[in-house]
Amino acid sequence: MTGIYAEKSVSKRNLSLVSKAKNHFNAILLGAKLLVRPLRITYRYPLVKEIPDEGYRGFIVLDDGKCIGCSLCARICPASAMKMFQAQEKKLRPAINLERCVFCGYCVDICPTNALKHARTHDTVFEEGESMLYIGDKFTVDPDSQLLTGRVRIYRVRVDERRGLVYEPIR
Amino acid sequence: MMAIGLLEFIKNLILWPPVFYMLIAPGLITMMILLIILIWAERKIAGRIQMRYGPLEISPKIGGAIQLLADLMRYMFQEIIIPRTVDTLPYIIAPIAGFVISMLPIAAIPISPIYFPSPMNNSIIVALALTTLPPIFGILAGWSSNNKFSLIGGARESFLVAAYELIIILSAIGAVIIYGSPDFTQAVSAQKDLWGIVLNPISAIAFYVAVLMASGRFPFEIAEAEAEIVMGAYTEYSGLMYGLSMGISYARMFVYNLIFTLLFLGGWYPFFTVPGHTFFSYVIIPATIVIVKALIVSLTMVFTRAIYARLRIDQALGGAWKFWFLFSIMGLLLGGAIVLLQGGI
Repeated sequence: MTGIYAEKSVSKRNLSLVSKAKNHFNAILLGAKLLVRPLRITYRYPLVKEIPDEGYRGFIVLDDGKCIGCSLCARICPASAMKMFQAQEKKLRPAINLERCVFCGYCVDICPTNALKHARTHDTVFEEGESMLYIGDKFTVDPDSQLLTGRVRIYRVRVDERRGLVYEPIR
Repeated sequence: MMAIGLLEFIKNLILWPPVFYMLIAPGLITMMILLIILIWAERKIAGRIQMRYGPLEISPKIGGAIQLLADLMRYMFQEIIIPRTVDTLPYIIAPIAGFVISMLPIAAIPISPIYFPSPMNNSIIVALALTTLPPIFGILAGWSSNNKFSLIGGARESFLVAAYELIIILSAIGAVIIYGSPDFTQAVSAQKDLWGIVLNPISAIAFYVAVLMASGRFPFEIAEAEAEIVMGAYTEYSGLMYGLSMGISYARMFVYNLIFTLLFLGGWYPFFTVPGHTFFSYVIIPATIVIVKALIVSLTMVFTRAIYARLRIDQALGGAWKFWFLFSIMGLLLGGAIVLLQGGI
């Protein structure tokens, strides 16, 4: 044992009884303080939800009116999650398989008419594999609208110097 | 007529002091309720201090308070696996006997001035003697499990027994010599004006720390150190047997705290009676006072989980023999000095 470790172990062993008692007292005081006024860094996840800032790469949503069926999103997709399908009137429309999607956002960036955009939610439970394929009208539903009208409380995360992450309720 | 006679018989049987003490208060039923409260409080306090929530999912409206009932149900329906290589009879006996015997000192602990479990003149000695029995079953469980973690846990338990029993008994004697009687009832009536913790704070602190060590509370949670030796002596248990073995340390802690309450915290004082209700004023009120005091002391003990790290076995033994043993002897000397000042002996 050399250097800082040796010094540390020696200095701990040489503590007097009074300073040991003082350290115990300080630890108990800190615990009591946190017990009375808790500083929580977690949140009650299923009961409340955190909403991220603008620019978060969540689920991808299609605006059907803007889409021109150019297939660029399907070509750029690195995970082959995006594919083109024939909609009515022989128009091509993209569909996404969330089982494959890596949320890289290339399709959103390359879209020439801004028909694709990121939603700000990322968490959904799928009960079976087929339901992870978003095709047709299902792909045009914005999951944020469900989140903002639901009954769960919404939190926003903020970085605090003293406590680290702080979750503040915004609704 | 027959039914009324039967009801009278059942009522008399339940109110017969030994049955009342062992089954209702502070025995099995009270102990179960307090176990649920204590374990929930332990997890909740640790959660608050460690900047999180603790159990919540089972019942969010009451802060997850019935989490332990859900755990208990899970234990009940879980399969009890008995490994092929264990020594079966001691393996099965150990947690059951350990839990029953950890509650046995209640047979000598009165919680009321006139309603004893068993009248005896040296109940403090009997109660302290009975509290020394359960660690033997921990060691037995470790021995019979045929598992290295269990064996290490049992060995650590046996090291700790040698350290803490002496401190507990010396500090109890430090209080007993002040009261001049090894009987709980007289010890409590001697504390009518001044509690024992004021008379002899040194013995009280030594007793408190030794109880932390005896019941495996946090700086001394060495015998079942989860991060080092899975679950100590109870590693191989599953299902309800594991639930029982987990309850042993809490039951021991509560029994020790009943003794602590009677020796140092004034027992059933402030004592008051409601005229016209004999049973209510001589059993229910003093029992409630004693149990609430013991519960508060137990809550301060489970609070230590959140603020202390686990000591090494050599640190705990060194601290016990080099410091707390001398500290309890100092408490003994202080008790003797108080007796001399009062003009006794």
